[in-house]
Order: sequence, then structure tokens, then C-alpha cells
Amino acid sequence: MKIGKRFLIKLSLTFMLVGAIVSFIGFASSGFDIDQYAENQHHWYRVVHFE
Amino acid sequence: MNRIEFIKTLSSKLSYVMKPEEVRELVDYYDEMILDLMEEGMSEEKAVSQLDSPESIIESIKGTPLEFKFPIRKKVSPLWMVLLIAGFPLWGSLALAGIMIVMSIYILIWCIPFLAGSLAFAGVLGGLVSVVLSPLATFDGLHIGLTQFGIGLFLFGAGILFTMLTLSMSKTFIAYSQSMTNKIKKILFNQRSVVSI
Repeated sequence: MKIGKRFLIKLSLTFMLVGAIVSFIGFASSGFDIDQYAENQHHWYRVVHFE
Repeated sequence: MNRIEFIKTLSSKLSYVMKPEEVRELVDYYDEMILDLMEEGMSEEKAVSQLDSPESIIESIKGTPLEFKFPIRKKVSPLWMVLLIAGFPLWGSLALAGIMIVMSIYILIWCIPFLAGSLAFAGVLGGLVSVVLSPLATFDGLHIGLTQFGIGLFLFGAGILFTMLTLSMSKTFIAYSQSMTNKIKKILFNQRSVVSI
């Protein structure tokens, strides 16, 4: 399979779209409540922080 | 006419219209042509007859312009030397300021691809770390793991996009920098050493 410029653009845009949807679902499952992320948020494996 | 006769006639006639080194170059050229034809199987006389006669060669050369190399005079007078040394604080600082301006232009130009490259690196690395660590974050809550995974995917996609942007921009910026460097070199070191008449 030939990996061209257009394919990479499509792939990256798909990643971004899917990522936005998944993170929206994640945030929605918290009930759109930032306080739900407060627990253990300084653990080394946590990337999402809300100060 | 054999090869030696041809070369003798040609060089004696050329010596009236050309400089000795130019005569030698041209005679060598015709001699090589004769030898090549002889290597292909022709006899010496046949090979010579394939070329133009010495007279017609002279006629064809008469119209063409000749190049003479004049050495550039690089003699600097003592007065100039004194002025250069005494004026160094002035011209030296001006030259340094000029170099700094050129350097800052280069740095300013390359800030754009550097910024895009930094975003690409941060996006790809941050995205990968975020996705890989999201299962661990799930232990703190499913919503946390999902959010982290989604943000990781988004960052990774943005990182790829910025990587491509950096690569395509770098090509343009390299070409621009090369042309700018060539222009500066041309302005600073352009000297004529060959004069056509």
C-alpha cells in the first residue's frame, strides 16, 4: 500500500475527529463535572489535569 | 595531406591570429579528432580529408570572440592599509552589526518551522504517552481513561499533521535560505576575472 500525503492528512484528521468524539464521550460519562477528575489527578500516569 | 602536414599547416596559420597556448589547444583538438577517425578504421589521408581544410578553420575562427584572462590587481596601497587599521573600530562594528542582522533574519525565518516541529514532536509524543497510559487511568474511573485516550488520539493526529507541515515548510525555507545566501555571497564576493572582447 502506498502511503501518500493525502492519506496521511486523512489519517491525522480521522485521529483528531475520533479523539475529540472519544474525549467528549469520556467527559459526558463524568456528567460534565470537572470535580469527577479531581481524585488522584497527580498520579504519574494521568495526563488530564484540571486545576 | 597526412596528419603531420595538416597539423603543421594549421599551427603555422593559427599562430598569426591566436596566442600560442590557444593554438596548442586547438591543434590538440584536431589531432585527437584525426586519431579517433583512424581508430575507427580510416587511413590517415582519409581521416584528414574528413576535416575542414586549415584555411576554412582559420576563417571560421576569425569571427568568434576570444577570451583573455586578466589577473585582478590586488595591490593595496600603504595609505589604504593605515586607513583600514585605524578605521577598524568603525567599519568592524558596522560589519559585525551587519552580520548580526543577517543572522537574526535567518533565526527569525527558521522560528516558524522550528515552532511547527516542536508542536509536531509534542503532539506525537504526548499523544502516544496519553494513549499508552490511558488503561492505567481507567482504574481511577472509566470517564478519566476515556477522556485521556481521546485526548491522546487527538494529540497524535495533530502531531502527524504538524510533522507533515514541518517537512513541507522546511523544504521551502531551505530553498529560500539557499537563494538568500547565494545573493549575499554574490553581493560580497562578486569579482570579474574574465573579459570577453
